[in-house]
Amino acid sequence: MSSYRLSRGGAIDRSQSLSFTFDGRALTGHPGDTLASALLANGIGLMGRSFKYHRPRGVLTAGAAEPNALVTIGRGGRTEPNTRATMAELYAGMEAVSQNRWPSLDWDIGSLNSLLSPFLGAGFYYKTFMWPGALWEKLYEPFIRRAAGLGKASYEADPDSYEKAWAHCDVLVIGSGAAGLSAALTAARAGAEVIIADEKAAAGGSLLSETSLIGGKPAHEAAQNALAELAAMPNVRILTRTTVFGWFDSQVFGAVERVQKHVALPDPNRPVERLWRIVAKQAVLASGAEERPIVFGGNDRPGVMMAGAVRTYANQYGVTAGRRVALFTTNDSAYAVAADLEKSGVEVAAIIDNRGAVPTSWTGKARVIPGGAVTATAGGKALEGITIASGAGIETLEVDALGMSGGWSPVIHLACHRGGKPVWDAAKSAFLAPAVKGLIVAGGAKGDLTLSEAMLSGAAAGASAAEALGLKAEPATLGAVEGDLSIATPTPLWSVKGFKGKAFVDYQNDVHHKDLTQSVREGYGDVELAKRYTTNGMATDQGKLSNVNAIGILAEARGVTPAEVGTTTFRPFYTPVSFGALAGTGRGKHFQPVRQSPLHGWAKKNGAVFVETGLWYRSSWFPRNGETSWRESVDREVLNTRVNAGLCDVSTLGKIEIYGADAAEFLNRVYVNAFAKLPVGKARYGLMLREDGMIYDDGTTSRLGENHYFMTTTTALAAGVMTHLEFCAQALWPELDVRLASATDQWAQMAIAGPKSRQILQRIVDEDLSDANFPFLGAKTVSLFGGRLEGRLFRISFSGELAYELAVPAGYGEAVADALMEAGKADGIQPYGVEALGVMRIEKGHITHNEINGRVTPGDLGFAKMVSSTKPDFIGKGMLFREGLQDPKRPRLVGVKPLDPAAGFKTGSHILKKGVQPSLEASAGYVTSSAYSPVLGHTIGLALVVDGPERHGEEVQIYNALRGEFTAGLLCDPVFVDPRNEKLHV
Amino acid sequence: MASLITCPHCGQRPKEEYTIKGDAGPKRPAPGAPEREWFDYVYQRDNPRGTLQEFWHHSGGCRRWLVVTRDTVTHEVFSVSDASERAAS
Amino acid sequence: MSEVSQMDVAILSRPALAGVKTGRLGASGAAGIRLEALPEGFLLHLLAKPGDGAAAGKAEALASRLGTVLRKTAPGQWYVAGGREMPAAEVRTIEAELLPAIAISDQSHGRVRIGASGPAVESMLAKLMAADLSLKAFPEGHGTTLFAGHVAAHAQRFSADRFEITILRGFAADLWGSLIEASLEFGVEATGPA
Repeated sequence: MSSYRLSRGGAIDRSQSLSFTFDGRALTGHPGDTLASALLANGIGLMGRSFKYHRPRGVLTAGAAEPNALVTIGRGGRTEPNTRATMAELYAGMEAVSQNRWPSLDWDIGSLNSLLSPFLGAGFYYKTFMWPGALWEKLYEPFIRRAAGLGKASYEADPDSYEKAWAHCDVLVIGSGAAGLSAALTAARAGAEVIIADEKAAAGGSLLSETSLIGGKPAHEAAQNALAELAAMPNVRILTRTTVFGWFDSQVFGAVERVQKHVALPDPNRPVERLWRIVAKQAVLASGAEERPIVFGGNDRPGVMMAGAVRTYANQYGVTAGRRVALFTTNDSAYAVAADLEKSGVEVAAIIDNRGAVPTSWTGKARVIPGGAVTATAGGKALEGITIASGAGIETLEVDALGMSGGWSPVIHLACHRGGKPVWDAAKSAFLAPAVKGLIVAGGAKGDLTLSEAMLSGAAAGASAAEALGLKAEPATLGAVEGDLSIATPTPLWSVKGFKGKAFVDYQNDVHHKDLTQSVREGYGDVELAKRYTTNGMATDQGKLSNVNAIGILAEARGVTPAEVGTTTFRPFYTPVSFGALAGTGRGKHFQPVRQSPLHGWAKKNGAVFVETGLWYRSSWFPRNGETSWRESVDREVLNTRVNAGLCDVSTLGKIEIYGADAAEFLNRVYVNAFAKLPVGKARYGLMLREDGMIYDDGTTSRLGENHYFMTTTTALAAGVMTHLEFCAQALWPELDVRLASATDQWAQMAIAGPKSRQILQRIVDEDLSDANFPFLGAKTVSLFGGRLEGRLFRISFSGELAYELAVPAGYGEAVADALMEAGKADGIQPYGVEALGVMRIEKGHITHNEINGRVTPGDLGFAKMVSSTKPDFIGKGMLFREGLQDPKRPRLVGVKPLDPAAGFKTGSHILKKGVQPSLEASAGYVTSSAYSPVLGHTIGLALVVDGPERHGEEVQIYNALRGEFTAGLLCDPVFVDPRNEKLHV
Repeated sequence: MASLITCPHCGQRPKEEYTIKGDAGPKRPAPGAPEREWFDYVYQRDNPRGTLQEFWHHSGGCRRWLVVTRDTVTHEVFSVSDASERAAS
Repeated sequence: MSEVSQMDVAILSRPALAGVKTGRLGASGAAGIRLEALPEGFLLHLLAKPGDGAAAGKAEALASRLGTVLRKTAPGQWYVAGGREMPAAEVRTIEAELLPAIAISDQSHGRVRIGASGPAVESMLAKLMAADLSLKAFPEGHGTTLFAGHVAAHAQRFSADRFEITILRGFAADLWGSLIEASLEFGVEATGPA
């Protein structure tokens, strides 16, 4: 294979060889190469197949705007599709494959699509695949899915890690070329905290390809010196391989650092990508300018590339794009390319200069064709020749590479991310950044035409940024330039007249000139419509090379100026960012924080099966004796608790300490019932409403001291209630002396329930627990283990059994739970989980958020009498007495059971009168909770039913609309077990 | 990703540390006020294009309720104050 | 009749960070980070009326007396913390002295302290915290509540390269894991509870 590697030059390490494969072919390159430069060096120009027409494509650029050379790199969970070969740093063992072709890149069946091209023009997807409609699901959609996309993603887990980080600085410099380095030096020397970021591995921007002299040294050396100075300053951070992809609110910049994408086997101690959120007081956008392609026939043949890319491959990578190169240009920059090629010994066949006159400074060998234009190219999968039209007529030229320069578009994206629209500058034929606060544009991004101008504006920007922060700054450039040239393109060439063949505008989405003019003819000439109609600018390259040309073509077709056409909206991300980087460490088990109960260890060692409840892990049931189904365990736990005793972890319920002289008044205002006269040492059940009168949460509040209350909430609404209480205390009634402290984590809280609970508890509690001394709803501090530990004991019951809740400081939770299990062993104590807890509370008609579903009032649940009639104000009072919320026909709480004990029914079923056909109008209500009751031997449920409390004993239909199932049922008292609550008061 | 809000107690923090409740304009009616006032307070909200005063809770920080005055279009924040300062009225 | 418990069983407190990953982890060479599970001694949450200057003075005096510093968590709220266990009776005595100006919620078990130190501590914590952690913006003695990852925590700087992070007990093990993860690239020496 003949090599296109130049014998000298390039910032590559020629002493080292890196082996890699492309489509299975073994090749070599050097450290410093990108995949693209290494492929070119090996004479491989065909790198991909275009999206729609499957045309053979080669690399067009040497950087981030690359639309064609998209490859898949890596294998297994590390597979990364749609990677730009121009941005992939070569490493030993890299495996790359081309995309969007079958069976191979050379012989792609997809190229037959070109025969369909009359049917694949602008808006084709609005005009095809429409009829017959029946074919959509089985034929059209699968076909489109297979055809869509370029690379294929892997379904294997990504073995690497990602992370996110924040950074704060005074000045963020985006881009490390001539302007960026000048800005960074100026600001850093003034004492500002500077971060300078560059998307490439090596900082220096276009200076790395530049051959002019700066301060008497080659440009890339001047860049290295500046970087060395910056690297040595403690107030400077240099981030290479880092793309600043967006400018967001509040001066936050998003950036992604490719920490280890360039190594074969990443170090597991470091992430492969890091997402930065950079808070920068000031920023300098020194992102340079993007060279534009020229729109002529066959401008997509492999071998046609950007003139600047030809220069970069030669100067930075020591690779020539061809052996006989031509250049087609509208501005002076191509002459520097020609000079550099000739110096490297490459033949430059011609410089086709679209302008009328030849620059007098050209002293090279190449023939200049003034006023010329390339109208077509020839060759199969590689360029073989070009057709040139000029004043002298038509001529063809044999070349194997063509560098084109249609002008330079400032890279202004970030300046437009916050809503500003770019401004067309007719003199420069360029869209310039709008005036924005906090971001100063400099260099090529500002429309500067020469290297000197760029450095001056960079230095000025750095000084401006530093001065805005109150620092004194001295503008600093890298030095005087020798051999500077101007990239001025006053007369843009939006497309070549009389081109032959397809003239591409958007390479990645295969949009060509005819698509855009057709768009205008069909009424979609507005820039927003033309974009969607043709898909110009909608590919992964986001129109970096196509947007401006498209605007120019639309302008010409419509007979208006580019300013009048305008641009579409710029949005982050500037270049694609992986989901991995955006997720950071938040994947798999780390997707959300894990919150553990202090009794987690105790539950685990007792064999608990856990269930996620929000961020908590709660013990659901505790299988034993070879039980294989949850029902076996839950039934046993319920029966055992009601016969002997059970121990349940209730630590997850919210606990809030309330202090202050006005604590009682505060509680009065947040609950529907009265709390002002709650005696010290007593607990009281409370209902909390929302301001719309619906129940928000329920819980128990105890008075532990004169001005000290202890509130419990449900697990699910612990955070919500705390926030609500804080709103009331701070925003509504700041005059009240109320202090709130979150205490959920301080206490390990366990329920000890069952007929034997008292005697078991008495073995560890020092105080007398007889009914006389510690009645129902008692709430006191108690002494345990002969004074060795203090806890709080509450005689409250969710299960309906004689029960207590014991709270001990969290660290002691496990020891105390163990002690209780030991103390109750002879009495048959067993742990029980939230499933059994759920069954028992349904048996007792106790409500949870199944019933408190956001649409129920206290009256709906039988708590109308709980609502105080004397309190002047409480949350929800204003709306609770609305007619609609007092309507006696609102569904109300009732119990429901099946007529046939062997039948079951599900929560969510509707209640219908016997014999009535199901319909929403006929629905009398619905089942809110249901469970199998091992005590009763059949399924039971709670339901909200119209006139429910008056319909005990009525036969109804329980209708499951999802499954179309009917169960004959009976409405009844919602308290199924111990309806007179005798067990509670033992 | 962005939208830094300067809590008067804690300093500049990203919006993720906060919970947003809604318009801070409507005042809670006095006890006994007519139903119409309550209805407006609970349900009726303007949706201004421009300046809005909003209740934000610094749930990830000091847990103080704040009133953030901001522009709903540009996201510019004009002021942030402790909610307890506005209750007197 | 009540029986005073004579149960002959050891009642020991299990540290929240018992069993977490410890040791010398991550990048080799000199460890850039040191993580410590600090002793679960006492931690009192002091609650005063926001803006009450006299109360602030009392809080300061208490901290001094207890041989520690105030950790400001919110307007009118602080933690005072230390390594020794404080009996409930002592907490009650302190509370009686400080009421009504300051109410006390004993959070000795409700919060867990983690020490994070080393030359790379700012870079490591910046992966979890959005506040500017530079010495200039976050000087010695400064403390604040903020998100550590996705959970609220308190961070206080004790010296140029040492912070203490205080978090709800339920999230302590999770935070420890996140701190380890963030420290691997710097090399970390992680010490669990004594």
